[in-house]
Amino acid sequence: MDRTRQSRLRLMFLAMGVTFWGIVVLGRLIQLQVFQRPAFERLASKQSERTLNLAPRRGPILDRDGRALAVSVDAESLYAVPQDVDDPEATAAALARALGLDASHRRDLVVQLGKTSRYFVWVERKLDPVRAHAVRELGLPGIGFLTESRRYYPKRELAAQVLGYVGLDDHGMWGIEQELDERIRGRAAKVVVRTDARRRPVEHVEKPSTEGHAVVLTIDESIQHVAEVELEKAVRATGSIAGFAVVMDPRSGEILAIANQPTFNPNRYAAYSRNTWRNRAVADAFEPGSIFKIFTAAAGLQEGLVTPDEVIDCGGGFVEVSGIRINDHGVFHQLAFRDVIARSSDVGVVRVAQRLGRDQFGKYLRDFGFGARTGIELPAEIPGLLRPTQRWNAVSLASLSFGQEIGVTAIQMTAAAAAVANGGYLMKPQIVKRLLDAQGRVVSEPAPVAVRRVLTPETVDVLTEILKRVVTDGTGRKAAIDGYVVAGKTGTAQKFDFAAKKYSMIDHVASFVGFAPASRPAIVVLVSLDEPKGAANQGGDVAAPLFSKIAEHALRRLAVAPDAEDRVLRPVPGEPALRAALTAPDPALSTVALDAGDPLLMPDLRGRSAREAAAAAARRGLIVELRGSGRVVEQAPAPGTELETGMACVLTLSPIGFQRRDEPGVGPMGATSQTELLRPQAPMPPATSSLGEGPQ
Amino acid sequence: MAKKLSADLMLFAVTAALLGFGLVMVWSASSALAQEQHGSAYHFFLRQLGWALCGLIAMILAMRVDYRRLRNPAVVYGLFGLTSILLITVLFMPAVNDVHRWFRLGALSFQPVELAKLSLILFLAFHLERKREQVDHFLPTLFPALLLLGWYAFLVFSQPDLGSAFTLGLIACAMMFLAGVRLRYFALLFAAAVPVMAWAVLTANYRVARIQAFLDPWAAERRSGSGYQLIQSLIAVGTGGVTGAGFMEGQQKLFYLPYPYSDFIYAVIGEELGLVGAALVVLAFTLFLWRGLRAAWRAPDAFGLLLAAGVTLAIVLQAFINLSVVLGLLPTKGIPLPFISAGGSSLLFTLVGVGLVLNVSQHAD
Repeated sequence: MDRTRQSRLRLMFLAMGVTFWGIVVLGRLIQLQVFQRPAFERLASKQSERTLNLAPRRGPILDRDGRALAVSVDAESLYAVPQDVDDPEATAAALARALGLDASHRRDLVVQLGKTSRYFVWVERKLDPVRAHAVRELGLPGIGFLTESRRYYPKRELAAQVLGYVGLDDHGMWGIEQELDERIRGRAAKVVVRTDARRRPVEHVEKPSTEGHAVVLTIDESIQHVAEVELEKAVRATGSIAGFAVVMDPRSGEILAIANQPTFNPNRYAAYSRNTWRNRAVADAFEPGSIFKIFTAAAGLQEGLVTPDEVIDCGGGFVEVSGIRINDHGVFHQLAFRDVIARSSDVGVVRVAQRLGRDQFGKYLRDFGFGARTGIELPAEIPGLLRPTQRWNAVSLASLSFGQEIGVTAIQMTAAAAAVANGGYLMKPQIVKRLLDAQGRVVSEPAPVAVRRVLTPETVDVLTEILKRVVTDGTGRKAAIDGYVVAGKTGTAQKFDFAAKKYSMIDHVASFVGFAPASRPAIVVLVSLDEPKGAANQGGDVAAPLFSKIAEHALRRLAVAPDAEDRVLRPVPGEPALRAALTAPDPALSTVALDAGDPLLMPDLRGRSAREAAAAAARRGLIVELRGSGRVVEQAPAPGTELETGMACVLTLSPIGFQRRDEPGVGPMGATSQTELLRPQAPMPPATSSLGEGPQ
Repeated sequence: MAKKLSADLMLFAVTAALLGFGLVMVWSASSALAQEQHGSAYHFFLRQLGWALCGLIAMILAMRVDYRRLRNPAVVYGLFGLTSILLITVLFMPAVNDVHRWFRLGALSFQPVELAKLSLILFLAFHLERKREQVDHFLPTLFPALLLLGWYAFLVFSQPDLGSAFTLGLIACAMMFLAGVRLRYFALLFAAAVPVMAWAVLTANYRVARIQAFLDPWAAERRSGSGYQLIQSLIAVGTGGVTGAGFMEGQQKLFYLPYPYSDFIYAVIGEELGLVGAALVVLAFTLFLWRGLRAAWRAPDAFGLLLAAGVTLAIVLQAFINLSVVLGLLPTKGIPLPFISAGGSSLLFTLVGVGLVLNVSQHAD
């Protein structure tokens, strides 16, 4: 009995002990299911939900007039749910046929489709419509489509290095695509795939993408196109290994074109050498050579250390600097300074640089923006190479004066030349005109930025005269453009042979930088050819004609009135209105009192000045051709014609006065010129104009 | 002896409830997986249903045969002999999942370890009652008991099935404790068992991994992927919350959770029925414990007491070990949840055991 009592006692003890265990289990349940539940919910959704990021719809990239350079188009992406695939082998074979895959891809596909532990695999992303249709026709189980978007560059190679491309991972590479990737990309569409007990996607919860911002570039498609075509022709004709051309509006710093050779088609970027993706105009530095003499001259003139008429001793073809003999490219003796530049005497500019001294010269170079990034919105911009003044050696000053011992980027060079063209302001180069959101609202619109004033208008006037002489009587005669006065400078820079540690006697870079019209520059153009071959391969032989072709088209495209009219209009030098028009970006130049008309109908442009009429026509998307000079006497299409973008518009001009019916007082040319030049101060009210109101 | 023979109805009701609940949960936990693996959603459910019916019949038979007729050396040693033969022969059966644990007869499978539990309980009840007056004597009482335990544990461990060997030891200890063995012997036994267990764990990499997974499943998962089972189990229980995802609505039971219809069925219960359902299971087993021990308490003899208590504790301890494993309170062992987990022989012998307890409860004085 004693034993039974003991057993029963121990029974009680065990019952309580095991019950206590049960209580511990209950406590654990509460801990897990009440207190830690949110954490486990997260873990569960982490493993049972898959978020697929679909390529978002990138915003388009447009030229300054809204023409599409890069667009996003819908593309179907093909996926598979391996567990739903009946027969991986047969399915892969059918897909391979429809998609045109090779044997190794097909084998990969068999492996992918056999991975039943995965519930979602991409088969092929961003299919073209033909192949997508072919796959859809197959009606294979376990194969489905999701809509993504694919980048498409409708103009193919046009502005390829400016635009960049979009890589496989939907990130922009190079160009604007990379620089503004965050803005263009928008928010990725997310598809949350929830799986049922068999891990098959039962539902897709789509969080729609937001389309990225549209980028309106300052690039003008037409100028870009011609720059590329002419550059390619020149590169091919001269056998150059590379080349670039940059066109800039000196008043605003807006880049109108950047052409690169060799180039690539961003739709098929992988088929091209990666060398072609880089924008050489910002990512590569080159030794400018003689075109750099512009800035030596500018500094010397500005400091009053030299005048155009001063005769410089050019040493008979060489000069000794610190015991080192510098040979000129020709034998020159006594030259007026204007001819030192026009004939590009190295010794002549060395003399000027020596007068400036290294500190003063160095300061000017930095003021012109050399050795610093311009801040243009393009990736991989380099600051170039300009050593600090303290680290210049004995011949640095001399070398720099004619453009050696310095690495500059094309964009720096163009901006510096623009500072001469626009009356002395270094403008920040701009490639982005504005950003628009998906609804077309302006998100940002950077204003032109004048970095600093480098030259006085007086210096600019004198320097411009000298640079005009380069084209009229000097090395750059082939840069001349019919009807326009061009100012510029040639350059033939020997390439430094790093193997031989000296400047090559054969290979060189031929360049030309210039602006036009010289008296009221609308464009600055820099062209450069790397290692042109042939008998005549100097800057003046190969780069100057290229400049002429690109600049001529750009001037016509921008409806810049020829100087043939200008000769008559030329006001007395130093006239304040002229200076005002030249030194500051002139808003009036682009706001012509013609905007009231219906933009779809051809306005009556008769009686208008060439510039007004051409600007009005260009704004309506017309390709303007100006014939003659003076005022418009004939126009095609006729007033009131319905317009389409890209139509040709021929404006025939005549210097013989055409009386505007509503402005009987305007007659003699002299009076007209005053009106024209003073317009910023006294704008013509649109209401008084009968122009642009359709047929009359 | 003239008393009316009436079994404990509440114990019967709890058993029936757990059994029915188990069938339903096996259906929920296995149907989708069965569809995938066997082409029929009913695969596991129908088998379990068949075993449950067989088990019920066996339980009723066990109820009807007076338990005192088991107090017969022929029965006890006969069962011992049969168990030994089966435990030895199973070692020569083809391995399933790398262990020799099952006899397979067509669609049926049978785990001799379930028989071993019953045999051990029966032997100890028989043996300890006979040596009741010299229960603390080592040679006549404890040595045979430990010898049998050691023999079974060794054979089971050879399968290898450390979890079941451990359970056998636990049952034997509980019964010797109830029989009145002095506590210091347990201290000695414990001192002897610890190095053996440690050796058993440390000589098998997967056991080390299980211990590590138990101690920190997330670290183990990152290191070697060994925490997966436990993590999935905890996710299932944790996401259940108070009310659960709803019957049949669990997500974890497929693919994520290994063996959702057998060893980890409690995780499915936790996910689908929440804290309410999971706690009810704990309460049902606690009720089973108390009613079973009540039968033992009221047993007319030591054999009945030890038999009823042994069976009850074997079931409830196994249940709590299973729950603790699922909830991450104990390292993973291959121990099913009695009444509920899919598994034929386990269910059959559990129900036979319940029949014995009910039988003992009829003879309460």
